[in-house]
Formats: sequence, C-alpha cells, structure tokens
Amino acid sequence: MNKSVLAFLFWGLISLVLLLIAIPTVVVKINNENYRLRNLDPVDISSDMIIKEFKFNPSIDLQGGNIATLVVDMQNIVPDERQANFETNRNALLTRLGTYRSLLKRQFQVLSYDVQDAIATDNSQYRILTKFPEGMTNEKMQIMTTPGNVTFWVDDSLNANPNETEEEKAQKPYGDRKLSTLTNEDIESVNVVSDATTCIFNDPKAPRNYCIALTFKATAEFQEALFANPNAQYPILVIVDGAPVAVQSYGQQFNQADPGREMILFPIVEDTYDTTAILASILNDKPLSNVGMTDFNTLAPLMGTTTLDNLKLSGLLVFIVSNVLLVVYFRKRSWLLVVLNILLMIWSIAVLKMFGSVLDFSLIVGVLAAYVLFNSLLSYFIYQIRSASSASLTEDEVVSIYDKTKKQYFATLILTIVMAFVVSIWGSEFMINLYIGFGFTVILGYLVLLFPAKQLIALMFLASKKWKI
Amino acid sequence: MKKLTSSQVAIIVLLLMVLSLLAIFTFKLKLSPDFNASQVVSLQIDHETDSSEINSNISGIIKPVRIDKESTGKFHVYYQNVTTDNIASVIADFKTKQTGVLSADIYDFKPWGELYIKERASLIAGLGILSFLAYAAISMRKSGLTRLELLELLTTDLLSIIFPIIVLLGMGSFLGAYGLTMSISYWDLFLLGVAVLMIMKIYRISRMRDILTVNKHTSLLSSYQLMYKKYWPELTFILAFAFLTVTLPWLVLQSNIIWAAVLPALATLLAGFNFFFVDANFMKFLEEWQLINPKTISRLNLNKKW
Repeated sequence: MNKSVLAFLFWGLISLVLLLIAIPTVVVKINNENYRLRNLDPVDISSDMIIKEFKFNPSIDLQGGNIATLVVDMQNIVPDERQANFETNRNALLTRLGTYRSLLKRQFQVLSYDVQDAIATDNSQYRILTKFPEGMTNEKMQIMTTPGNVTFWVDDSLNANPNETEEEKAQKPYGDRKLSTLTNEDIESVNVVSDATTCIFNDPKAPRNYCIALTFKATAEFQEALFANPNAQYPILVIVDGAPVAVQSYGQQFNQADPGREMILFPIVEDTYDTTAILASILNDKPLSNVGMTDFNTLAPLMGTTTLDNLKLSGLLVFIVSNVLLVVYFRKRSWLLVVLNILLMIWSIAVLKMFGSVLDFSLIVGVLAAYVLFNSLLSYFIYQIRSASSASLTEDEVVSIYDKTKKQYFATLILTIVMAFVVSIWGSEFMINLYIGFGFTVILGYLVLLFPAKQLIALMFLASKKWKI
Repeated sequence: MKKLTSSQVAIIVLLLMVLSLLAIFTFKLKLSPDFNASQVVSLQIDHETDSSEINSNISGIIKPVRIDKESTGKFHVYYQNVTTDNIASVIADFKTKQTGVLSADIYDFKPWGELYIKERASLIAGLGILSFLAYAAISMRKSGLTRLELLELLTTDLLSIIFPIIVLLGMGSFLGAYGLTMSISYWDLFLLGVAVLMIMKIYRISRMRDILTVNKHTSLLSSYQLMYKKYWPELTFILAFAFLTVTLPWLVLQSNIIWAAVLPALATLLAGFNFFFVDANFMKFLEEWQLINPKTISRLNLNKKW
C-alpha cells in the first residue's frame, strides 16, 4: 500500500467529474437575474454525442406525465365478440408500445408506460388508458394508434401493357406494381438500422441515417413477392392505411440463391431515429381496428405533487443523520467511512444519471438498501481500526484488514450479480428498477472500496510514509 | 436485559408465525389497483381543483384506495371490493357535496403492466433463498465446520429468513385489514425489509467465518456464542444504523407510506431478534435433538470437514 500522488489526484479528479454530473439543476437569483446551474452533460464536450444529456428519466409516480384515452368503437361488433375484439386491440397496442420501447432502448432512451383496460360497468364504453411519464407526445400517440394495415406493392413491369394509355396509367395507384399477398401477419420482427451503404433510395450520395429492417416469417409469400420479377424495375413499395410510407432500399443486395428473410426499407418519413422507430413499431404485429384516441392529457404525480421534493429533503436528512451516528460511534476514525459514504452517493447518483435510470420510488429504495449494505460491510473495517486505535496498527495489519473487507465485499457482489440475472428475467418493472438502484450502488461501492478507499486508508495510516508518484 | 430462555424464544417464534399465518389467510394480501382489478369512478369537474378536495368530499362516503388526477378537472377514483350499487350511491352522495360535477362514469379497470406477479415473485424469492444458501455454504468453505454443522447452519439460516418474511407478510395483511393497500411503494418497502434481513445475515456469516478461522472450533453453537460475545456491540450499532436509514425517510410522506414503513422497521427488529435469540437457540435445538441418525451421518460422510 503506497501513498501515490498520481492515484490520489486521478481518483480525486474522477470524483470531481462525477460530482459535476451528479449535482441537480438549481436556479440562483443574483441581482434580479436568474442563473441556471446544471450538471455536466455530454453536449458540453461535443454536440455529436449519441447521449445528449445525463439525467434521470421521470416516473409517473413521482413526476406525473401524460395519459392517453383510447376508445375502441364497438358499434359494428356483435356483443358476444366485443370482449375478444377489445383484447385483440389492446394486445396489438401493447406489442406496438413494447416494440417502440425496445427500439428506443438501443439508443439509450427510456420509454415507460402503464396500460389499463377500462370497460364501463354497463358495457357502453370500451377504453384503453395509457400513461406515460415522458417521451410520448400527442402527435406520436396519434401515429401510434393508426390502424396500421400494411400492404406491399411489388414490381409488375413484366405484365405492363406497352400500349397503355395515359388514362389507364393514371388509374394505377403505384405505377407498374401489383399488390402482393404480404401483410402485417407475414412480418416476424422489425428493427431500425443505421447504415449508409444500405439506406439508399434515388441518390446514392444522399443516404438516410435511419432505415427499417423487416424480417419476414419463413413463408413462401416473401420469396414469391420478391422474385415476382428478378429484373424488377420498381422497388417494393410499403403502404400503411393507404399511404406510401417506405420503399425497398436500393442499397440492399439480394442473393437470389439464398435471399434470406430480411428486407431493408427506406422510409418516406422524417429522418430521425424516433420517427423511424414509431413507423417500425406500427409495421410490427397485427393492425388495430376501430380504435381512436379521444384525449391526451397531463397526469399529476400518482404519489402526490410534493412527494419527490419531500423525498429529496428526507433523503438528505437521513444521509446526514446516519453519518452523524457514524461520527458519534466511531469517533476519530469515522471520517474515512463518512468520506467513502459521500463518494458512494456521488458516484451512484452520477452513474444512475449517466445510464438514464427512471427516478421512481423503487430506485430510491434500492439505493438506500445498498447504502445500508455498504456501511454494514465497511463497519468491520472501521470497527477493527477503532479497536486498535489506542495502539498503532502496523502497515501489514491495516493491509490484512483491508484485504479481508474487500474479499467479503466481493463475495456479496457476486451474490448481487447472480440475483441481478434472476430479477432481470423474472422481475416485474418495479422490482427491476429497485434492483437497478441496489445493484449499481453495490457495484459502485466495490469500486469505491477498491480505489479511492485504498488511497484514503494510505493517507490515514501511512502518515510517516513519503508520497510517491 | 434479562435473557430469554429457549422455550420462551420458541414460543415467541411460533406465536408470531401462527398469528402471521392467521392474518395472511384471514385478511389475504390486499393488492392495490397496480396489480389487481378495481372499479373506477371517472369524474369530470367543470373547474380546476385538486385531488385533496375530491378526496375530502368522497372519503366521508366510502374511502377510495387511490385518486389519480388527469388534466385540470378530471379524476379517476379507485375502489376495490365495493359493489357497483354502493359506488352508484357514493356518486349520488358525492354530487351533493361537490360542485360542478359534469359526469361520473363507473369503469372496471384492469392493469396490464404486471402479469403473473405472484408466480414471478415466488420464483425470485425461491431462487434468492437458494443463492443465499449457496453463498453461505461457499463462505464457510475451509472454515473448520463439518458437513453436518454446515447443514445445521444452513437450516438455521433458512428458518431465520423464512420466519421474519412470514411475519412481514402477516403484518402487511393485518395492516391491509385496516385500510392499507399493497401498492408498488408498499412492496418496495417490503423488499427493503427483506434486504435488511439478508444484509444482517451476510454480516453474521462473515463474522462467523472470522471466529471459525481464528479460534479453535469445538462446536457450531460454541462458535456462535463466541461470535455473539465478540460482535454484539458492532451488530447493535449496525441494526441502529439500518433502523434509522430504512425508517426515517418515509416519515414525511403520505399516511399509506408511513404505515408501510412499519415493514422495514419491523424487519430490522426481527433481524436483531434472530441474531440475539433465534439463531443460537435453533442451533442448540438441532445439536441436542440430533435429527439425523448417526448411521446416516457416517454413511453420507457428514462428519467430514467442509
């Protein structure tokens, strides 16, 4: 164990950067001017970063959000089939939202939602309520609730009549193309891809940033549609609810012997990841029928408007009181644990912000549980050094106690990681969020113990030793 | 403090478990609309108002389990286990107290976020306990314990995990009978309580290993008593630290969360009760009663060092 200037400065610098990320946004009023102090964001370094800002994502329970009311019109559905029709529509919506969420996740974006069936007790109204904390707007939800009947128009130039009149040509909606048998039912999965070599349409020099990759089910219809004309002049056109939304990308090279099941589409919508992801979600799974959005309103925080502020204050208070307790009990030696606790909180808040965690009640509870674990494991170390504080400890003894604490923490870390797999597979959303708070803080606690703690212990016990580079 | 005798500890444990099981089977788990179906009155008011006004006007009739506010004057008032007729009379009474009620429709609500929640929670709990026992067994490798002693230790750990969890569930059911609904925040605090129990177990395992590696090992019980004697002040401090940390933050929140905060507080007390009384007495019981036949012990090589 050495007193290393470089290591001390390095971990001090890391902690300082994480502190700048962890600090909350505050508005300071000086001379009647409001100054907004915010945390360090990736855009402060470069505007080209995929992640633009480090922030907690809001949750419905603490920050509220929006609520969309969808009405399933049952006028033309016989009473016996209404429940089944309602469930089909709700499941199709859940699939769309699930697809959109998983596509956003690949861009480190979070979409939380909560879907509820709401059927009037006299069966006069069938509604689906969808709550979002953030990330969904009225416009996006309007697109998300379109029926989404997908058709594919394939080249039919071989059967084109060379003597076709202008009038006859005008009657063909999409030129020398014919309607294929492919529909939503033939699509197995969707993905948003970003590849300048494939996202091409008319101008190879102007590729799109984002295209859609459709994977079809292993049915004959896809190949039949694709090889209707091996020398096709017109790319496949994708129509959703009567409007063209995408064409087959020129950049995709098909191997006729083994065409695979994937088709790259060049969407005819705004070239952003978000819009492309919404379109991709609509193409996935069954279309919605007789569903319309009636309201898109704000939703107050489910746990009350003041809960988040109260939690912040009480959290800070508990942190202070618990550290005062450490000082009272461990006296002089407690400063080490107090400093490590401060570092743990800074590191945890910063890293949870960097990963865009959802700031809900579960996350806070998880962090708190890990804080108790960290202190209970480190209390062994402090207890040992406090017991020995009357007599000086040798360097070997300090190293031995530190190594033992590290070993015990590592064993607990392994248990935490094993349970992380279990919870991520079977846990419900709130359990996963709770475990994100717990797991991240336990892991960061180990890193705090492994690096800054080592330097602080050296500073505390090896006072007579000289600093090294 | 007067020390409890083995029989007193056994009576307390059995009594708490019986009472808790009775509470669970009598009152059941009162799952909130986050997990279960509910009936919802969708209210449209013609002016801007807040949930507290609606709550004060409607709670006097039949207390709802939750009120969500949509936009400025729209509210979703959640009821569970109340008949449609009763809700209809609530609406009629409410209209006489609240001004500007434009509409009040009753809906059957069903959440779609959390499916098979009980099955998944049971699976996670089962795998969690198994992982913990594996952790305990690995931690005790080459500590001087025999395989039989390890089995006794793991059995003790299993009991001292299951016992408080049953008591926590029983307490939740009991509070449910007095109006507390088990919402997501309730289960968060329940899991916080379970986490405190596990943390104290982890702490106890590491201290036990220290004792076993440093001192000459005679029996599991004597090692436990030695560990108890040496570390009880440290554990008492950690329990106090945990009690403060897991209870205090919730006291500034709504009443339902304050009531749910009873769970982590109770879990901390039960963790202390386990350390001070249950573990040692259960080890003593296992040693004295010798539940495994000596022939089986020798056939399975249980006297070999672990």
